[in-house]
Amino acid sequence: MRYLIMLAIMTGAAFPAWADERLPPIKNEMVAKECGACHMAFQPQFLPQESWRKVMDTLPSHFGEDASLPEASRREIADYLLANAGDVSQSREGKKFARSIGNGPLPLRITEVPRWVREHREVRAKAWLDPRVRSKANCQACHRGAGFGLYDDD
Amino acid sequence: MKRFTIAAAFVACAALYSASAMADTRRDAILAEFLAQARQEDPSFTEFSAERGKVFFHAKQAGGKPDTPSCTTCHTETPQAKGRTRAGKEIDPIAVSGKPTRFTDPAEVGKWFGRNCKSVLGRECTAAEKGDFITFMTGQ
Repeated sequence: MRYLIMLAIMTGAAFPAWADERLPPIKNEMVAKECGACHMAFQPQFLPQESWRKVMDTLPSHFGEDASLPEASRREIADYLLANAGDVSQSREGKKFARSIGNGPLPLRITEVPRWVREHREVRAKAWLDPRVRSKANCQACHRGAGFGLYDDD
Repeated sequence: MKRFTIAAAFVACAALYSASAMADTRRDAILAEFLAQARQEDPSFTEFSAERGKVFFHAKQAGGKPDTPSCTTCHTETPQAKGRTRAGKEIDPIAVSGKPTRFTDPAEVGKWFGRNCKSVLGRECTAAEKGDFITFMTGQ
Protein backbone atom coordinates (compact mmCIF):
# COMPACT_ATOMS: atom_id res chain seq x y z
CA MET A 1 0.00 0.00 0.00
CA ARG A 2 2.75 2.40 0.96
CA TYR A 3 4.42 1.59 -2.37
CA LEU A 4 1.24 2.37 -4.23
CA ILE A 5 0.92 5.76 -2.57
CA MET A 6 4.55 6.55 -3.30
CA LEU A 7 4.13 5.47 -6.89
CA ALA A 8 1.08 7.70 -7.25
CA ILE A 9 2.97 10.67 -5.81
CA MET A 10 5.97 10.02 -8.01
CA THR A 11 4.04 9.71 -11.27
CA GLY A 12 1.99 12.74 -10.30
CA ALA A 13 5.19 14.69 -9.72
CA ALA A 14 6.72 13.50 -12.93
CA PHE A 15 3.83 14.60 -15.15
CA PRO A 16 2.36 17.64 -13.45
CA ALA A 17 1.93 19.49 -16.73
CA TRP A 18 -0.14 16.86 -18.50
CA ALA A 19 -3.37 18.31 -17.34
CA ASP A 20 -6.15 19.46 -19.63
CA GLU A 21 -5.35 20.84 -23.07
CA ARG A 22 -1.64 20.29 -22.82
CA LEU A 23 0.50 18.18 -25.09
CA PRO A 24 4.10 17.06 -24.83
CA PRO A 25 6.37 19.41 -26.79
CA ILE A 26 8.09 18.08 -29.94
CA LYS A 27 11.45 16.51 -29.12
CA ASN A 28 12.72 15.67 -32.59
CA GLU A 29 14.88 18.41 -34.11
CA MET A 30 14.15 17.46 -37.72
CA VAL A 31 10.40 17.56 -37.05
CA ALA A 32 10.69 20.93 -35.30
CA LYS A 33 12.79 22.41 -38.11
CA GLU A 34 11.14 21.04 -41.23
CA CYS A 35 7.48 21.09 -40.15
CA GLY A 36 8.09 24.43 -38.49
CA ALA A 37 9.48 26.07 -41.62
CA CYS A 38 6.08 27.08 -43.04
CA HIS A 39 3.70 26.70 -40.10
CA MET A 40 3.88 25.94 -36.42
CA ALA A 41 5.19 22.41 -35.94
CA PHE A 42 1.93 20.86 -34.77
CA GLN A 43 2.18 18.28 -32.00
CA PRO A 44 1.67 14.81 -33.53
CA GLN A 45 -0.91 13.91 -30.86
CA PHE A 46 -3.49 16.05 -32.69
CA LEU A 47 -3.94 13.50 -35.50
CA PRO A 48 -4.17 9.70 -35.60
CA GLN A 49 -1.54 7.54 -37.31
CA GLU A 50 -3.63 7.04 -40.45
CA SER A 51 -3.85 10.81 -41.01
CA TRP A 52 -0.10 11.35 -40.58
CA ARG A 53 0.63 8.48 -42.94
CA LYS A 54 -1.46 10.17 -45.64
CA VAL A 55 0.01 13.61 -44.97
CA MET A 56 3.56 12.31 -45.15
CA ASP A 57 2.84 10.34 -48.32
CA THR A 58 1.52 13.40 -50.17
CA LEU A 59 4.07 16.13 -49.36
CA PRO A 60 4.46 17.30 -53.01
CA SER A 61 0.85 18.41 -52.80
CA HIS A 62 0.53 19.66 -49.23
CA PHE A 63 -2.65 21.73 -48.81
CA GLY A 64 -1.97 23.70 -51.97
CA GLU A 65 1.83 23.79 -51.76
CA ASP A 66 4.81 21.65 -52.56
CA ALA A 67 6.41 20.53 -49.29
CA SER A 68 8.69 17.84 -50.71
CA LEU A 69 11.55 16.56 -48.56
CA PRO A 70 14.52 14.31 -49.22
CA GLU A 71 13.48 10.72 -48.48
CA ALA A 72 15.75 10.35 -45.41
CA SER A 73 14.20 13.44 -43.75
CA ARG A 74 10.69 12.42 -44.78
CA ARG A 75 11.15 9.00 -43.22
CA GLU A 76 12.56 10.33 -39.93
CA ILE A 77 9.68 12.79 -39.59
CA ALA A 78 7.03 10.22 -40.52
CA ASP A 79 8.45 7.78 -37.95
CA TYR A 80 8.24 10.40 -35.20
CA LEU A 81 4.73 11.53 -36.12
CA LEU A 82 3.44 7.95 -36.31
CA ALA A 83 5.06 6.97 -33.01
CA ASN A 84 3.42 9.92 -31.24
CA ALA A 85 0.07 10.06 -33.03
CA GLY A 86 -3.03 10.69 -30.92
CA ASP A 87 -4.42 7.16 -31.21
CA VAL A 88 -1.24 5.56 -29.87
CA SER A 89 0.10 8.26 -27.54
CA GLN A 90 -0.21 8.40 -23.76
CA SER A 91 -1.33 12.02 -23.92
CA ARG A 92 -4.82 12.54 -22.50
CA GLU A 93 -5.60 15.38 -24.87
CA GLY A 94 -4.23 13.41 -27.81
CA LYS A 95 -6.52 10.50 -26.96
CA LYS A 96 -9.49 12.86 -26.78
CA PHE A 97 -8.67 14.20 -30.24
CA ALA A 98 -8.36 10.70 -31.67
CA ARG A 99 -11.53 9.46 -29.93
CA SER A 100 -13.58 12.40 -31.20
CA ILE A 101 -13.09 11.16 -34.77
CA GLY A 102 -14.87 7.88 -34.04
CA ASN A 103 -16.03 6.26 -37.25
CA GLY A 104 -16.22 9.59 -39.03
CA PRO A 105 -14.15 10.58 -42.06
CA LEU A 106 -10.37 10.57 -41.68
CA PRO A 107 -9.20 14.16 -41.09
CA LEU A 108 -6.11 15.43 -42.90
CA ARG A 109 -6.20 18.81 -41.22
CA ILE A 110 -6.18 19.18 -37.44
CA THR A 111 -8.93 21.75 -37.92
CA GLU A 112 -11.19 18.98 -39.24
CA VAL A 113 -10.96 16.89 -36.06
CA PRO A 114 -14.34 17.08 -34.27
CA ARG A 115 -12.70 17.95 -30.94
CA TRP A 116 -10.86 20.86 -32.56
CA VAL A 117 -14.09 22.10 -34.13
CA ARG A 118 -15.95 21.83 -30.81
CA GLU A 119 -13.21 23.63 -28.88
CA HIS A 120 -13.25 26.54 -31.33
CA ARG A 121 -16.98 26.92 -31.95
CA GLU A 122 -17.14 30.06 -29.80
CA VAL A 123 -14.50 31.84 -31.86
CA ARG A 124 -16.25 34.50 -33.94
CA ALA A 125 -15.82 34.25 -37.72
CA LYS A 126 -14.32 37.75 -37.75
CA ALA A 127 -11.49 36.71 -35.42
CA TRP A 128 -10.08 34.30 -38.04
CA LEU A 129 -9.80 37.14 -40.55
CA ASP A 130 -7.68 39.31 -38.24
CA PRO A 131 -4.38 40.00 -40.05
CA ARG A 132 -2.51 38.77 -36.98
CA VAL A 133 -4.26 35.39 -37.32
CA ARG A 134 -4.82 34.99 -41.04
CA SER A 135 -4.95 31.18 -40.94
CA LYS A 136 -6.41 28.53 -38.64
CA ALA A 137 -2.96 26.93 -38.78
CA ASN A 138 -1.58 29.90 -36.86
CA CYS A 139 -2.25 28.50 -33.36
CA GLN A 140 0.22 30.82 -31.71
CA ALA A 141 -1.71 33.93 -32.69
CA CYS A 142 -4.06 33.12 -29.78
CA HIS A 143 -2.40 30.26 -27.88
CA ARG A 144 0.92 31.90 -26.99
CA GLY A 145 2.35 28.68 -25.59
CA ALA A 146 1.21 26.46 -28.46
CA GLY A 147 4.79 25.82 -29.55
CA PHE A 148 5.42 24.26 -26.14
CA GLY A 149 2.19 22.27 -26.21
CA LEU A 150 0.21 24.66 -23.99
CA TYR A 151 -3.33 25.31 -25.20
CA ASP A 152 -5.26 25.89 -21.98
CA ASP A 153 -4.92 29.66 -22.08
CA ASP A 154 -8.22 30.52 -23.73
CA MET B 1 42.24 48.28 -20.04
CA LYS B 2 41.93 50.56 -23.03
CA ARG B 3 44.28 48.39 -25.01
CA PHE B 4 42.21 45.36 -24.05
CA THR B 5 39.01 47.04 -25.21
CA ILE B 6 40.59 47.90 -28.55
CA ALA B 7 41.89 44.37 -28.94
CA ALA B 8 38.49 42.91 -28.07
CA ALA B 9 36.76 45.21 -30.54
CA PHE B 10 39.26 44.21 -33.18
CA VAL B 11 38.69 40.51 -32.55
CA ALA B 12 34.91 40.99 -32.65
CA CYS B 13 35.12 42.89 -35.94
CA ALA B 14 37.42 40.27 -37.41
CA ALA B 15 35.04 37.47 -36.35
CA LEU B 16 32.04 39.25 -37.86
CA TYR B 17 33.96 39.99 -41.01
CA SER B 18 35.18 36.43 -41.42
CA ALA B 19 31.68 35.02 -40.77
CA SER B 20 30.24 37.16 -43.56
CA ALA B 21 33.25 36.44 -45.77
CA MET B 22 32.69 32.73 -45.20
CA ALA B 23 29.01 33.12 -46.11
CA ASP B 24 30.04 35.00 -49.25
CA THR B 25 32.46 32.21 -50.20
CA ARG B 26 29.78 29.57 -49.77
CA ARG B 27 27.27 31.60 -51.78
CA ASP B 28 29.87 32.13 -54.53
CA ALA B 29 30.42 28.38 -54.70
CA ILE B 30 26.68 27.76 -55.11
CA LEU B 31 26.52 30.43 -57.83
CA ALA B 32 29.52 28.91 -59.61
CA GLU B 33 27.76 25.56 -59.71
CA PHE B 34 24.58 27.11 -61.13
CA LEU B 35 26.67 28.98 -63.71
CA ALA B 36 28.32 25.78 -64.92
CA GLN B 37 24.86 24.17 -65.12
CA ALA B 38 23.38 27.17 -66.96
CA ARG B 39 26.13 27.00 -69.56
CA GLN B 40 25.47 23.31 -69.95
CA GLU B 41 21.74 23.95 -70.46
CA ASP B 42 22.53 26.77 -72.93
CA PRO B 43 26.06 27.01 -74.38
CA SER B 44 25.52 30.67 -75.30
CA PHE B 45 24.77 31.66 -71.68
CA THR B 46 27.29 34.22 -70.41
CA GLU B 47 26.51 35.48 -66.91
CA PHE B 48 23.79 36.00 -64.31
CA SER B 49 21.80 39.21 -64.26
CA ALA B 50 20.38 40.92 -61.15
CA GLU B 51 17.96 42.76 -63.43
CA ARG B 52 16.53 39.49 -64.82
CA GLY B 53 16.36 38.16 -61.25
CA LYS B 54 14.34 41.19 -60.21
CA VAL B 55 11.83 40.74 -63.04
CA PHE B 56 11.58 37.02 -62.20
CA PHE B 57 10.99 37.75 -58.51
CA HIS B 58 8.13 40.17 -59.17
CA ALA B 59 6.54 38.29 -62.09
CA LYS B 60 3.04 36.85 -61.84
CA GLN B 61 3.08 33.26 -63.07
CA ALA B 62 0.26 31.20 -64.47
CA GLY B 63 1.61 27.64 -64.43
CA GLY B 64 1.77 27.00 -60.71
CA LYS B 65 -0.67 26.46 -57.85
CA PRO B 66 -3.43 29.08 -57.72
CA ASP B 67 -2.63 30.18 -54.16
CA THR B 68 0.98 31.06 -54.98
CA PRO B 69 1.13 33.00 -58.28
CA SER B 70 4.42 34.79 -57.48
CA CYS B 71 7.53 34.75 -55.27
CA THR B 72 6.07 37.90 -53.76
CA THR B 73 2.97 36.03 -52.54
CA CYS B 74 4.96 35.02 -49.47
CA HIS B 75 8.17 37.11 -49.66
CA THR B 76 6.30 40.42 -50.32
CA GLU B 77 7.31 42.99 -52.95
CA THR B 78 10.16 44.15 -50.67
CA PRO B 79 12.95 41.55 -50.39
CA GLN B 80 14.40 43.26 -47.30
CA ALA B 81 11.11 42.90 -45.42
CA LYS B 82 9.92 39.87 -43.50
CA GLY B 83 7.56 37.66 -45.44
CA ARG B 84 4.67 35.50 -44.35
CA THR B 85 3.63 31.98 -45.33
CA ARG B 86 0.04 31.24 -46.22
CA ALA B 87 -0.21 29.50 -42.86
CA GLY B 88 0.59 32.80 -41.14
CA LYS B 89 4.19 32.11 -40.12
CA GLU B 90 6.80 34.83 -40.44
CA ILE B 91 9.59 34.33 -43.04
CA ASP B 92 13.00 35.93 -42.55
CA PRO B 93 13.89 38.46 -45.27
CA ILE B 94 14.88 36.81 -48.56
CA ALA B 95 17.44 39.56 -49.29
CA VAL B 96 21.00 38.84 -48.19
CA SER B 97 21.18 42.23 -46.43
CA GLY B 98 18.24 41.14 -44.28
CA LYS B 99 19.63 37.66 -43.56
CA PRO B 100 23.33 37.21 -44.34
CA THR B 101 23.16 33.39 -44.31
CA ARG B 102 20.76 33.34 -47.29
CA PHE B 103 21.86 31.05 -50.16
CA THR B 104 24.85 29.58 -48.30
CA ASP B 105 23.62 26.03 -47.64
CA PRO B 106 23.30 23.92 -50.82
CA ALA B 107 20.75 21.57 -49.21
CA GLU B 108 18.46 24.45 -48.18
CA VAL B 109 18.88 26.18 -51.56
CA GLY B 110 18.01 22.93 -53.35
CA LYS B 111 15.03 22.25 -51.10
CA TRP B 112 13.44 25.70 -51.40
CA PHE B 113 13.96 26.20 -55.13
CA GLY B 114 12.67 22.66 -55.61
CA ARG B 115 9.46 23.32 -53.68
CA ASN B 116 8.78 26.93 -54.54
CA CYS B 117 9.46 26.70 -58.27
CA LYS B 118 6.91 23.90 -58.45
CA SER B 119 4.41 25.82 -56.32
CA VAL B 120 4.81 29.12 -58.20
CA LEU B 121 5.76 28.06 -61.75
CA GLY B 122 4.51 24.50 -61.87
CA ARG B 123 7.93 23.31 -63.02
CA GLU B 124 11.55 23.22 -61.91
CA CYS B 125 13.52 26.45 -62.30
CA THR B 126 16.40 26.54 -64.75
CA ALA B 127 19.91 27.04 -63.40
CA ALA B 128 19.90 30.48 -65.09
CA GLU B 129 16.73 31.49 -63.22
CA LYS B 130 18.17 30.33 -59.89
CA GLY B 131 21.47 32.15 -60.47
CA ASP B 132 19.70 35.34 -61.55
CA PHE B 133 17.51 35.17 -58.45
CA ILE B 134 20.45 34.74 -56.06
CA THR B 135 22.43 37.44 -57.85
CA PHE B 136 19.52 39.88 -57.45
CA MET B 137 19.02 38.99 -53.76
CA THR B 138 22.74 39.29 -53.01
CA GLY B 139 22.61 42.94 -54.02
CA GLN B 140 19.44 43.61 -52.03
